[in-house]
Amino acid sequence: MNILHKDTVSGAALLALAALVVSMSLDMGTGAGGETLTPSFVPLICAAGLVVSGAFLLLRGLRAEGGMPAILDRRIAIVMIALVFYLWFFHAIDVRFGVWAFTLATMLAFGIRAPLMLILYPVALSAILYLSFSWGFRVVLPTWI
Amino acid sequence: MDLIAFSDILQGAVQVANPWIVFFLIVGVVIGMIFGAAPGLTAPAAIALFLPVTYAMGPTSSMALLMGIYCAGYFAGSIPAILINTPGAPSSAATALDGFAMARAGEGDRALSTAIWGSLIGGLFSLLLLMTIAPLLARFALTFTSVEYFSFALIGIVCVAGISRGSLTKGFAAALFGILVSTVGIDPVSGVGRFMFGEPNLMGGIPQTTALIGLFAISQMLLLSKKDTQDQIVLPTQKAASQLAVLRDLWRYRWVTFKSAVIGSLIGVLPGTGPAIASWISYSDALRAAKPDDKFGQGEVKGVIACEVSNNAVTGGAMVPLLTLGIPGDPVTAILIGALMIQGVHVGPFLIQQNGSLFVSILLLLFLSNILMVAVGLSARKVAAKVLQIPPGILVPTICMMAAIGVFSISNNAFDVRLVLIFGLIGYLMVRLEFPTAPAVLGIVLGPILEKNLRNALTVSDMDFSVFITRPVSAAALIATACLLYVWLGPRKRSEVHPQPEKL
Amino acid sequence: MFKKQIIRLARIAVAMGAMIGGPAAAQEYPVKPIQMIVPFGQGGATDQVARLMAAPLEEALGQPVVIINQPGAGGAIGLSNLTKARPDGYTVAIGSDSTLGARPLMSETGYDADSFTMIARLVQIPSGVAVRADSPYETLNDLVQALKTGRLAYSGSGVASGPHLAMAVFLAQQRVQATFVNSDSNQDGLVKLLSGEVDFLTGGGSNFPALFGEDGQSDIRVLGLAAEERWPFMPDVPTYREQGFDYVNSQWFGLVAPAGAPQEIVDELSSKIKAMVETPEFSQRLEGFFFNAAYLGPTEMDALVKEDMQNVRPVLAEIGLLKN
Repeated sequence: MNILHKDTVSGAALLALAALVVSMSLDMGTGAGGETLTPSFVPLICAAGLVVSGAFLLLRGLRAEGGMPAILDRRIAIVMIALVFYLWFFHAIDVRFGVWAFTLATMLAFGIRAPLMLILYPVALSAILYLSFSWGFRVVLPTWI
Repeated sequence: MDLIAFSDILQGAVQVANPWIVFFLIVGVVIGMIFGAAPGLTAPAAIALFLPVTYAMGPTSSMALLMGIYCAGYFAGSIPAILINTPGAPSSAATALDGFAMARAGEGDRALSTAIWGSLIGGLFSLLLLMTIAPLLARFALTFTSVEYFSFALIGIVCVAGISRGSLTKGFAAALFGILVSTVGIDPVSGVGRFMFGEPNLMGGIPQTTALIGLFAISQMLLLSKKDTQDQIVLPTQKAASQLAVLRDLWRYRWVTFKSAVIGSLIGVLPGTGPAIASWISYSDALRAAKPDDKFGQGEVKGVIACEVSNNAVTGGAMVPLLTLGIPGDPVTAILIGALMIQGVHVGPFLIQQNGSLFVSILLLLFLSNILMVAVGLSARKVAAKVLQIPPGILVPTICMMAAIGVFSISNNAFDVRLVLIFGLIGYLMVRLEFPTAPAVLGIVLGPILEKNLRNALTVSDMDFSVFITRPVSAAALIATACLLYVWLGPRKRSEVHPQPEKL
Repeated sequence: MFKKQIIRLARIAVAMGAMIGGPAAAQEYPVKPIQMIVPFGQGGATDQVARLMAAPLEEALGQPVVIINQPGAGGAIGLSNLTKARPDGYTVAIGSDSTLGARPLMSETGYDADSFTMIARLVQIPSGVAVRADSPYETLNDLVQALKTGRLAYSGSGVASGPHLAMAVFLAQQRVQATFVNSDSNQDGLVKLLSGEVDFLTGGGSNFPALFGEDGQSDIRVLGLAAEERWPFMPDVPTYREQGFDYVNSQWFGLVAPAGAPQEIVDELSSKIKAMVETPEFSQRLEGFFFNAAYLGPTEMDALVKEDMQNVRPVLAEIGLLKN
């Protein structure tokens, strides 16, 4: 029994997704239109396929050797947390500040220590992206001021 | 072309032979290159963002700018696909399969050059069709109904079996996941909301490019952040390719090239399709015809040829129904209708008759932008290859931020940025758990076409499934699908005797 | 010491802000750029009308009008996001007949018709019906008679879109039924009509004139337009009324603000728009899209939305689209 094998985990995830799809498909209704396949038809077919492949992977994983590959290390974790935080609250953060802060944080995480680079690049990237989108294309980007 | 008077041809040529027009064309090609190549930005986004700019320009100059973006943008998606395995557009996802494998073998330059020349051939071939038999082709496309569209899409989707390296089960699951993603939102057939989790922003579904950017660009950047460099993507020094050798390749594989050009043009002609479908169908056709010693998925140049020839052949093909019937053939031409309308040009079956000189100008502009695309592309590939020398510490934040702002700007909606994030995390997990991501893109692109047309066809036929085999074109497509499945799944069992190395 | 200074500065800033912001907001609207959400993509007819309006509006109001394209779900996503904006008159959106009234009856949109303050209706397009040129149906009556005996299929731009609902309400009035086959856009519907997949097409009148040559030849035949009187862009096509069917329906676009927008700002905007819509230049530009300028004030527009909802609700229930 290898519960932590990557195939076991992915199989379980697929089964969970299939269960979610099925539970959400059941009360979908039929909607308008003539007599045809219901809106839940294709999702249910997909769910069935996921159950089959999920179960197959689960069983294969249980019998296999080896464990999960490492999902995170410190650097990925830092980049990921910064990314999740910034992109999730994208609407609430001034884009000039957000791009600058994210770039700086990522560069630090990658071990870039050259002061000139750390000062110039985040500012430059933030300025270029902001100016080209908001002035060039008149896109209204989130800003505080 | 007896439809067009000689004076119109002359006038159209004179309009194009204007330094400003040429200037706008070059600007368009460069913009298209940048938007197509930058992960997170796409050619349709470039057209949409630049369209308001053209409102103040004349019809010929606005067409020059947009045609330049159109041709170059469709090609340029393959640059990041080949170099950093991050397709700039759904149509380049198939290119990444072999193109990136070539780059890993140090043949990135050859792959890029092949993509450039292949795009030129595809573009010119479809332009030739547009010039000669456009009205005929458009009429032919109009004989197809939902039944045929469904069967065509089926040819594309069984491609999953061909491209699922590693594990067929995982490829299959990824494709199903892609189809499920495409069902989110208000169901176009019945009007019922599906999988919306009470979020009004999901009413319109998950935009394909948003999902793609997340699955490829963001996940690739997370992978690059991995500390231990052992399984990071370290590309060897790239060999410079001889352009002559590339052209010789295209000649040696002329049959693949020709078939892909035909497929691309025809898919372009069909309304409601686009370059993504064209490239998958040509790729699957190239796979079907593979010789035993072809190494598809591991750097087969024919794979790049098939995708790139056909996705640029869509440009001319998609103009066919637009200019002859007023019906757009792909997402970009749908936007072009608006561009022409604001210039007071009514896009409909009488466009060529009423605006003969404009039609000639458009043909010339398409021709010139294809030529310019090669010129700019060949010089840009040197610059683009420098991307590989950028340290990851700079590349990661740059691409993440560009993707976030680019996605936001398409529909000014911060919700789309969240979607990109979610798909980035999913994509990252998929790669870590060794699920191929290309089948997921295939599902996202083809899922809606399959589902919509299946259900529409059954509505019209009163739930009679036999329509799919009684209509000849559809029956032929279904037979082709069965052949493909046999080719891929049949010998697979036998191939266990001499298993191919599973890389990536 | 330093802290005190900051507090003092802050107090001054607040006071100044109140002086500038407070009274000015009421009296001198607008004091900053106005954002106009267009819930459709760049290049579409709605986008172009909005951009046509932006320039003269900027001139009349003395502040920039910034267009924000927020496409999705046939216009519902942009409207849904509008209702989350502050109702201060600085964020407005283009709404349409089907998105304002009917859409919230069908699915969870995050808004309903009361979430908006109507400002002005801008343009309208009569609903129409077309068949292939080789179709046996020469008049609207032929079509209705055929529907009484057999089942026909029709298409239009999207399920529950304005054109679909227009035809569904008409069919319900005639007590006949037809099968609706969804299309993604009007052009997609035209493909289905021309390929013979469906028997007739419902669509806004503005889609049809470009399909006719100078001498009137075309692949399609427009059987009727549901306008009050003959439509200037297609004077040969009879109205529904002329053919004995008392049915008037049009697709329209109008400007809305989030509910609770101050009345004086709404009136100000509405009167500026009225003046602009009535200029001959504006009508002339609209002709390029085959749109009619059709100004309606806030109250009339509100009544129109409510009336449309009344008409469409039973039909939605019948075709199974009413939200439960």
